Amino acid sequence: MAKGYWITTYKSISDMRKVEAYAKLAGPAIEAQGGVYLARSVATMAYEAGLKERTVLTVFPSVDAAIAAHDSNGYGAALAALGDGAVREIRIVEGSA
Amino acid sequence: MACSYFPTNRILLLKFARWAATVLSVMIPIKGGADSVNSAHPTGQFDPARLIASPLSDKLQAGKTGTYRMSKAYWISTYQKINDPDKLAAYAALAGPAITAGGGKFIVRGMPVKTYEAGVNERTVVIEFDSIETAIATHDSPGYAAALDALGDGAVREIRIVDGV
Repeated sequence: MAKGYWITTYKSISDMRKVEAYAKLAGPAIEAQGGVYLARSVATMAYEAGLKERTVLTVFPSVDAAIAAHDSNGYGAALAALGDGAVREIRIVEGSA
Repeated sequence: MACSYFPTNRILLLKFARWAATVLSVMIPIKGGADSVNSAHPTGQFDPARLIASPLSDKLQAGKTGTYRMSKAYWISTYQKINDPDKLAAYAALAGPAITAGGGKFIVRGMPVKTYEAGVNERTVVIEFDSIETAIATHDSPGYAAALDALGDGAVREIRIVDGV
């Protein structure tokens, strides 16, 4: 089965404390669905319209597992903690390999 | 005339020190992970890893096996808008070989299945590299520059290169 990749590219962070509170809750919720963090830091390089902002890449056993993690109660609590703390692009994409 | 050799020798020496530190840190398990590299050396012994402690400690997997491993790097292209599919196709035909030649492995290349928050439902590419340096070198290669020429104004893209955990 093709893996699922969850890509979060932060556009801006307005409240770092909210992001930290979110991250504490999001980690366990993502790992509960088999999610593994591949990258979780500020981009080293950005090109074209790219932003040197926080970037998170997570791999899941499948796209369905990634969606299930997003829709879980645990992740819902993380989102509540984040509130308006950041503007983020989230995409879930199927792996090509 | 000896001094004219000095800068070259110094660069070679630095390169050797870096290489030696890397080799040693790969061979020798570092107990306790990143913290032990950053803390003062208790025995006062010379530790080559400390010469480049900062980049090394970033890449150490603290608290797991206690051994050193290079972290991977990820090149993430989140397309915002495609203006000209023909230019994009011309780009892709050149970019693929240039990226593969640079050691990149495509792990994602397609449209999202789902988007959330400010997520844009547009083409998304993730390429894995063995290091941040090889990812940047691939971006800056002549082969990739030719691909960029072919793309021109064909798409608006967000490209980020990020260190792996």
